[in-house]
Amino acid sequence: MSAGAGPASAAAAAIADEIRRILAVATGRPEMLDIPADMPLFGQAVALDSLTGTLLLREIRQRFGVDVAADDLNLDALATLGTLAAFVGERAAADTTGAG
Amino acid sequence: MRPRPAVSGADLWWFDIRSVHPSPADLADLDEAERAKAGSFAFAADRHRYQAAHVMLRQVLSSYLDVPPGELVVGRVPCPQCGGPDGRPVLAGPGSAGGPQFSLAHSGDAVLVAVAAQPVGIDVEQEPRGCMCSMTSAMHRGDASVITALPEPERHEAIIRWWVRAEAVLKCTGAGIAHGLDGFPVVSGPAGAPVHGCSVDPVASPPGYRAAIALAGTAGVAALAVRAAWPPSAGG
Repeated sequence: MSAGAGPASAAAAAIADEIRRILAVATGRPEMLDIPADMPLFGQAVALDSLTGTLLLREIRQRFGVDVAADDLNLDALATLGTLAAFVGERAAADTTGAG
Repeated sequence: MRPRPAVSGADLWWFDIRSVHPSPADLADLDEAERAKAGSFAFAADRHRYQAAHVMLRQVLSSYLDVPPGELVVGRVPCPQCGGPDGRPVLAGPGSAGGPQFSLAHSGDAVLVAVAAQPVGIDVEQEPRGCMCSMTSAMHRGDASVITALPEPERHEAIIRWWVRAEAVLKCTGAGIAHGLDGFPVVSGPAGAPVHGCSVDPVASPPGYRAAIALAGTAGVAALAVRAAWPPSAGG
């Protein structure tokens, strides 16, 4: 998982912004547009309710073709906004290149 | 002490969190896990919703038992699907023997508590405004095909109806949502038929909200008694 600059982190940042927009629309709460990347989305901090959490993962599946909920939930990927965006970015890139 | 509801019935308690203002003593009634959870929220509105819901849950349950709100012990039965520790919440402490089953839901400004003689699941949701069509991929195939065929706005309404019914059933059985929602049809079966071993009914809700209740067993939902009504002036 890359942490510095580069195409992967730029893609993850764009995905994180898309996730923020999904959450703002789903919850009707504009403050979701400003949540930091290290903020937990599930269980604590944002603590998405189950409807919003499910809708978020379905929107990610639809927009990025990445099923975070497949093979049981990937709990590490769900730790924070940033880890979720990085996971989606990696899986989407792997699918595009045929490597995954 | 309030009598617990008869089998196949449930008591419903609505609260509007805009008129719930827990005192320091009320907050001290929350247990360690509830206080830790309340302390973890990033946004004050979410903390207030959680605290209001859990304070009112304790006050409601206390009225069915000779146990003060702060002495109630809430445990969990194991998840029936994986045996994990996060199954249905139950009263577990001294004085809770023979006590009622319960379920708690909150969304937006609404808190809804259901109390019943048998395992019960309740869900309430403030109706989301955005498109929810991607949710059909989380559904049982039968539900997805029925709902996908609907025109808007009926489809949007059906997705919310599907969600509150499915969530109520999962909360009644105690199976975690991580196990998926697609294992059983929720809206495409015969009208009034049991869902996944539960009897499911809609619950009359404030404007802008939708709710459903599930009771363990296939005997149906005979009587819902509203013990605390949503304030008529509050709107949705």
